[in-house]
Amino acid sequence: MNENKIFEMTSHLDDKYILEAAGKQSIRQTKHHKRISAKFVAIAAAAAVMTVTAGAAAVAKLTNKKSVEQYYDSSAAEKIEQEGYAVGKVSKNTHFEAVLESVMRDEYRCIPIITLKPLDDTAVKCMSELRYDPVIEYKDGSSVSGMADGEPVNNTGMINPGSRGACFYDPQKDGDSQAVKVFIYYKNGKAVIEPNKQLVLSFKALSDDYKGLFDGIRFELPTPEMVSGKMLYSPSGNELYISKIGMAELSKVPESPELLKYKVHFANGTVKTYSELGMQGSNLQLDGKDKGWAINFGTLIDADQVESVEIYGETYKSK
Amino acid sequence: MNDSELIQLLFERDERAIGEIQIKYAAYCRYIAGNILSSREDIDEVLNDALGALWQSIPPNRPESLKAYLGRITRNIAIDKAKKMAAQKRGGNTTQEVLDELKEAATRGQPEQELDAKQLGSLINGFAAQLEQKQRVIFVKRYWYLCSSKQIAGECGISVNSVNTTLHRLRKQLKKYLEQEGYDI
Repeated sequence: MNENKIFEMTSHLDDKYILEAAGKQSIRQTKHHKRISAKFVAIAAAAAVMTVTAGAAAVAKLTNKKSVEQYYDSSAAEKIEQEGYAVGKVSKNTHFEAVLESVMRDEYRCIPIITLKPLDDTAVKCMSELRYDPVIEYKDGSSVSGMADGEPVNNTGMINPGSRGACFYDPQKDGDSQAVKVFIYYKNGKAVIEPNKQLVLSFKALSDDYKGLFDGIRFELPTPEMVSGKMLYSPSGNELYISKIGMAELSKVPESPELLKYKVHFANGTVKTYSELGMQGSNLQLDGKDKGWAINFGTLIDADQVESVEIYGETYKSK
Repeated sequence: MNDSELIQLLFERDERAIGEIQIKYAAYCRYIAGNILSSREDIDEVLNDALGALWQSIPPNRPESLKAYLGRITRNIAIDKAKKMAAQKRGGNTTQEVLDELKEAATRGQPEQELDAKQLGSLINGFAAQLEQKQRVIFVKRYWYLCSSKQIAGECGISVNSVNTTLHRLRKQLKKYLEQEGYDI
């Protein structure tokens, strides 16, 4: 059997082996990845391109790149498009036009970015006063573990480290519109949001003056593949998860802001600090205790190339 | 949407399926195509072609794993494109590098031996099943995903040297396996 035949033979590998080897965490199975047992499926040979609507088949671009650039540097905004995290879904009522610009996820968080454009004066006022909250629920209506039955996982207000709740937001003015970055933490307080269940993101007005303003503004959040990430460990046994979009220290909370001034060391010898990567973060209060702190980057990094992270006075490395 | 819902949309010829599938699996398809092709335009073209081919093949096919199914389509299209470009001398060819490596595993069997898909599948999956998970992942990343040794090292958290040594041993092991299965003079 010659090498061409052997190469042809590899194309007949079972689905389960192809999926096993996909992505960046395939040696160590995480609890979010289920083994898939599948029979071999014979596929049709590749066909010519079929004409579909331009919006569906074309690679999605950011509708309002400036919204994303409120939170990420321009190189990150380019990567978000190139790597397929741009969404471009629109949801509209008579008061607002909302565009779901992008969604990125890692093991600990899901980050949608939305552009909110007001269409009347009442909407302008509501938006400028920030009298609204994002709300997330499961699409199938089931309750989020750790929350009271039927209680949606809602926002507790603007970004405020130390606040409770799994869903925060950080609005930024962008001309007439408002860019809204939402932070959905899969584990926060006692709440556990299952990453494989589809979430619905909507908004609610916070006062009767604006009641009904956001009715119908609703997004079924896509579930893109999680970005690459890995676990690092300190000599004292504390755990830190780092991914393309952020970090999560899982064992404790910082006793002072000084301890959050982190450094990330990469395999090529470069070092990036908190001032370059960003310090926007949140207390996760894992299991309802005072532990766990998430940091969200203002750029995208190559987590595979991270060798160590200095934070909290310790150095976290791979085992 | 989960894969069953997406496949159902395809069966209903609902074009929303393509948009949703693209959002869910574009990064995965780019990963596959990016290991084989280098230019962004070529990768985008493969992604669009793969989505088009998916639309044409479901129905009647109803794969159990949409991700693996789309991954196969993407891989095939990318390899075909790379071969055409190599023939036109338009750039490097990852598949040629892999073919050169696989010469180590080649046996002296009759060159005219024709094997059908079922036989090929049985052989390669029999070989893969006997490997430890770590070895199998490295093997599949190199010979199905066409990842470079450096990329495999980064993704698996091991050194490039370790990847190359493992691949060398696996090629020897594959050769022995094929000989034991009768693919030798």
